[in-house]
Amino acid sequence: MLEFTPSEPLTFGIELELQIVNRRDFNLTRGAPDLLTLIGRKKHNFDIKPEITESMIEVGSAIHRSHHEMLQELREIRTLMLDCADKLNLGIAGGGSHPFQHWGDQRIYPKERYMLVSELYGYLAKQFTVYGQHIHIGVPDGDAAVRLTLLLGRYVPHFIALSASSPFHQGVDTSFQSSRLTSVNAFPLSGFMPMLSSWADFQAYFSKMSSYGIVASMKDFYWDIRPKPEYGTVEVRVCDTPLQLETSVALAAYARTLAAYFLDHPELSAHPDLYQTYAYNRFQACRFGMAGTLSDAETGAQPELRQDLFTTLDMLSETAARLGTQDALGYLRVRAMRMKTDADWIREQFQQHRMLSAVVQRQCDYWRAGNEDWVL
Amino acid sequence: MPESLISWLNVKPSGDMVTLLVLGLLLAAGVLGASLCRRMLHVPFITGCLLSGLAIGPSGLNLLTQSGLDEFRFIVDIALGLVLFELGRRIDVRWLLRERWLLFTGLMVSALTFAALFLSLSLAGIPTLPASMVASIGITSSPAVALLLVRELKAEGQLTERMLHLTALGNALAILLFAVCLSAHYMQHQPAWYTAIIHSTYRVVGGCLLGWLAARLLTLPTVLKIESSMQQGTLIIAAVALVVGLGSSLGLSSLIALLVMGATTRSTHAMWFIREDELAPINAMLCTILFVYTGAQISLRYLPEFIGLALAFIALRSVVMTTTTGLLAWFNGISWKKGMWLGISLFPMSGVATLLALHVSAPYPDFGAELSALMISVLALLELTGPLVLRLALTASGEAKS
Repeated sequence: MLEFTPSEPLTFGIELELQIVNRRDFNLTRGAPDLLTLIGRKKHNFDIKPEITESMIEVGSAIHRSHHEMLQELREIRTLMLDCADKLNLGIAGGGSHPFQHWGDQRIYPKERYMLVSELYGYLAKQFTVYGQHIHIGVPDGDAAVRLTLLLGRYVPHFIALSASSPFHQGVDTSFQSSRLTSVNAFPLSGFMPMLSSWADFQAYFSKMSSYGIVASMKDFYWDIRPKPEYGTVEVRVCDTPLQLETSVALAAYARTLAAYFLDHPELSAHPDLYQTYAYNRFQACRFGMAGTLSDAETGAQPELRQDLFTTLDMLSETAARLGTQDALGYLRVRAMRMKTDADWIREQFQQHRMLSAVVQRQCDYWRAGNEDWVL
Repeated sequence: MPESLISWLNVKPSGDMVTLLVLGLLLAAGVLGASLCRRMLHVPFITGCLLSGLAIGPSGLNLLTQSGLDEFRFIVDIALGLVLFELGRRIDVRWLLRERWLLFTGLMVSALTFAALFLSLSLAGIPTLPASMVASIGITSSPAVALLLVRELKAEGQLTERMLHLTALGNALAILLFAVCLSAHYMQHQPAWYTAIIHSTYRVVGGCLLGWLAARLLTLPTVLKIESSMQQGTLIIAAVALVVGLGSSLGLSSLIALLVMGATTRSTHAMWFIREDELAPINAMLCTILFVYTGAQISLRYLPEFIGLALAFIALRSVVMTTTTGLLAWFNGISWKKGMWLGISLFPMSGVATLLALHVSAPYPDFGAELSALMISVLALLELTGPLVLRLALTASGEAKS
């Protein structure tokens, strides 16, 4: 039976998948093994590990109670990684996809699980060379995890639009703000968790899927949001890796504030028609970002995504004040008001330089510089 | 002229006809022979080309004679020029200046290899000047073998990057050492010592300047908004030909000029406008000619007599290189194992070395017949085994794409 390990509510952490590129033409390069060897020699307690292809590296934050501490830690990780990458002449960049890599050139990291995934999913595994951010929010029990997974589903378009940073794919402008999620859609168990009402329901569902031989563990679900029973968290997985750490932390703070709001309001539950509008709203966010039009199952309204975000941020103001996340939400609000997402920034760089290599070089500089204006 | 091939035809071909015949032979032997060798012996493409060249060249069936091959020096020079330019483009000067351990490793590998070879040769009774010249040839690694195998195996990683940087450094240092040796030689024979210094400085510094100017030429597509990759590629070939031509007419070091040209285009905005794959078709053809030609130049004549000495030379060179990179591996941020493979990856000796040796033995007969024979044997062994050893290093270190 799948047990849920309780955790301290509203503690949170993030995982970031980052791109490793060479500094010659700024294409992806198999730098992970060398970079991890060098990082392994330094004294640190950070969680830095390989991902499925050798041109990816994953960074995990510790479990935090404040996003200021999280940012502090991530900045230290960034310094450590850049020190090592500089020695090896590698570049590290954010962004949900590499703009011009060819998926066929990617190599699977030689680790048992990745080899198995590669064998099972064939070319999907290499096509999965996309870079996402995962946000974990601690919840008291499995029932809360199932409830939050459904409630947060309503806000998935916000997370997609705020983090969108993958406008190019295989050298072509996709016209999408986030093309990354399209790669995830190809996996058979992608999408969303079914409408369930308790952890007991979830256990029954899992046992059934397991008895059908479809899943062996939670890792086999590639859902946008899923309960993570081992960690005692709800995991939001729709975000592209933003171009700067500050945005990553702000997104995590937003997810945490939303979760706090729902824990404060036990009377709220997901609308039964959530999944009638889900795919449409998700597409609107991927395609048009902030300018997308949403369909609200609850009110029947069709607000602009940006407007819906502002309404939600207003709804969260009290909770944010209590948690101390106003600055993070303010940061996201300003970005939305200016209609300046990372995807727009990438397109702007391309307009300016006309070369995707130059765009990736700028992405590396951007990730290194960070956004010091946002004083935390 | 391949008389043996066409004598029975009872025709008297003109010079141009012969040139075409040799070109056809070089290309056909390269592609067909290499594919055959690859299938039967599982060797890299370039080893296949070398073996085909050896088979049809003066040491083999003699379908290609030395005079016929000489007609092709200019194509081989352009092929080699393009390789050096490409190697230059893989060199990141800013990294070399920032990552001092890599620079130090390069200097140490060259210095220690030079010292070990020079001392051994001196102890064997070889006079100082030839011994130092041979030792400076010994520190070079083959840019062509390195670059082409990296491309063939799609190798990526620290060993690959560091090997390419060490290769460029080794070749540049060899040119410097050579210039110093020649200066010393002049000094012995000329009262005006400063002419020697001026001569070698002119060669090296002039080479750098020439390379820098050629790199400026390659920034023109940006200025003139030439976006066609074919035209950019043509401009690169033009620049390489100009550098090789001007270099040898003005007595400047073309090798240094080409490396500088490559490295400069990398560090300027021009790099965005030149992509590796754009040159791929012409590169493939030129390199086929280059390696069949090199294979045809391999001489096994002295091998029976000199094999022991040649093996000792190769063993000493490899041990010093491997030990040095192994000991400095930690400082380079790589595992000691990878460090050892790095030293082994420097094993293929430079085709440039052959040219140096040939250049030297002609105007300086005091190089000695024995030493020339030894070097020719060393080169024959290294040409044939070098690509295999490098492939082993790239595969074993996990950097070649399996």
